[in-house]
Amino acid sequence: MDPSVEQELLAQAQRGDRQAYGALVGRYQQSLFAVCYRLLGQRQDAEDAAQEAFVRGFRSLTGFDRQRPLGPWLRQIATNVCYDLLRERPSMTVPLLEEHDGFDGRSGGWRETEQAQIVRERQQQLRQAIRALPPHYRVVIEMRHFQELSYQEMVEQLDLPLNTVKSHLLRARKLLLERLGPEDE
Amino acid sequence: MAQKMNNRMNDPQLTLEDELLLQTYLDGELSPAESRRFAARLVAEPALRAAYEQWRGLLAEFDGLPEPQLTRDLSAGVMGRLSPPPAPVWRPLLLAQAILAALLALVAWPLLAALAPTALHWTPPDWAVLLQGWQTAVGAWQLMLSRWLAVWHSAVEAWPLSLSLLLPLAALAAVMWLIHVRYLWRSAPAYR
Repeated sequence: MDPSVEQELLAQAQRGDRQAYGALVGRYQQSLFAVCYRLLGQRQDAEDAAQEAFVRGFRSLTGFDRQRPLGPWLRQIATNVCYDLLRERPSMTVPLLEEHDGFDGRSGGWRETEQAQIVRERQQQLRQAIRALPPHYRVVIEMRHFQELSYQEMVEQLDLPLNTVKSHLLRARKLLLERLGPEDE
Repeated sequence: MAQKMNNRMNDPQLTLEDELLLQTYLDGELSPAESRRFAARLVAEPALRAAYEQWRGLLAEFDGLPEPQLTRDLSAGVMGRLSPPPAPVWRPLLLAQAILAALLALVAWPLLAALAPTALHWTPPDWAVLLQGWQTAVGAWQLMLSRWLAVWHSAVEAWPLSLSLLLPLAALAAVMWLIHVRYLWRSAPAYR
């Protein structure tokens, strides 16, 4: 989508135009779903959370500064929605089985080479290891590795001191290393 | 295998400080000078280098992870839940305006009280006389004007009471306005 078109849609949405906001939903739904799926691990939960994030985004849209990019702002809302859910429902942190994961249908079937299968299994291990992390560790991994936020941005979004953010990130990565083991084994 | 993994994990014995430094280096969050110093340490310290390789491998794995794909359109579900957006930015302003209006009415009360006795004795201009001639009409309007002037005179007499309310009113209005401005300032990230 052309940036000027997006700006126009955003301006219309800020004036309460739901159709314009619908177009923005169409543009960002994939990335918000990805955030929610990585954090929650269930397709249905992720879709519900992404929808909730869009609804909250619309409610707060009048105060949104159009000079800022919309995507990171919406992903931030989605992260907050998921983080709240994870804290309210700790059972959502249980690692998922492969068949619930949503990736298995994209493996390439019988054509898949042995190497590709190893890579895919390793990726599956990584996803499950991330989902097994406590919510506050999972969120910092999501922010740093998938949303590519800087430390300062994480500090601002999580409203935590820098040292705490670094500490959570370090602990989360160490847990992942412990659970995953070296790649060549 | 678990034992082997643990051995591998425990190989590079680093202090917490070094682990944090390594992490910050890998995340590209060190200053250029700090980064150069740490790179020199990586060359000189095998344990640190081993940890670096291990961590770098993990970080590279994140890059290779495919993004989960949405398989249905969420727009309809979202659109069904959207209500017209509230205007939280204006809510404090409306509140301030309501309070101001109430206080203005309070201030205006002495004026109205001064007006009331005059208004009771006021008679509307005689429209028939007006139609009969300008002279009569002008006279009637002059009469009405003189009565209004009398009202204003009464109001001026009531000013001390009005002024005593005006000062707290102005102070309150200023506070309300400051609250409003502050709300505007911080309203942008109101996403929770």
